[in-house]
Amino acid sequence: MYKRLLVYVDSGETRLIELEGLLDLADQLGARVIALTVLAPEPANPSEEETKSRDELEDRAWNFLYQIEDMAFSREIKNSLMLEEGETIQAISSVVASYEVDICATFNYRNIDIPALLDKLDKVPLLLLNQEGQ
Amino acid sequence: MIRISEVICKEGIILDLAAGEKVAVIKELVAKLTELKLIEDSETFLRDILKRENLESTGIGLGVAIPHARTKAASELILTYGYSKKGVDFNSLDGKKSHFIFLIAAPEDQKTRYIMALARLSKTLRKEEARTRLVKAASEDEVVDILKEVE
Repeated sequence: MYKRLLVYVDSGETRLIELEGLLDLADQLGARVIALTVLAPEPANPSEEETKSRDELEDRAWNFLYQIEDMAFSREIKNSLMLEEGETIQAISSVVASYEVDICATFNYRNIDIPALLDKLDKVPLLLLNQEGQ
Repeated sequence: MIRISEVICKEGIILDLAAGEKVAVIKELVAKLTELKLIEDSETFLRDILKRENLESTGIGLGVAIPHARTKAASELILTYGYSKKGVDFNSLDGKKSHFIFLIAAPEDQKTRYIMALARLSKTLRKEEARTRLVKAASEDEVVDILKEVE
């Protein structure tokens, strides 16, 4: 019933250890974990400094995603990685709709407007994990 | 910081992959690396790459697939590339076929370097300029030049 579990992560805020609980859940459900991170859109005419900073941010984001993949793989949990650009809630809801996600999960980030996300998710359940990943 | 253009094995690049199916494409790339004597135990190498392939989609979308593994069969970081004009189904989440197939393997104790290479490659290939230019690459040298300029 729950085959695709999307987790939104923020490479600047999430710690790998926090994902253990989520992987436990995916393991129990036999679900695929889709790890998603979202970057703000690149400015139209970026300065050299902005380009460099953006490059570093994207490097960090991919690095974090592949560490999640490595964790999931070591536990033989199916997984996919996604990096999207845009507004966070819009990106999450778009991935949920496009990839037939059954459960959406994220952490208790202060920068996410949870009511707005719930509104966009419609009937897809949202799991809000605490910083211990529970 | 790892630079893809510096670690890619130029001699292992295949600009026109003959195979049209995922496992066959991986075998074609592995065979080339074996021929170049970059892999000694190709059976173990292939088994480790396919193990991950069976568990997850290494197709990251936008026509890109990155089959990869940490394996005892690699004594150093190995990175090679094959281009498929027809495209190959790598079970990408976006449902699109993969044309740009980069294979990465690393020794089991080189996790950080391996993840850095995967991250750098994924970032580079998200750039439309990289993909557009790789379609037109006519030589192995040109592939390396494109990566050097875009990454």
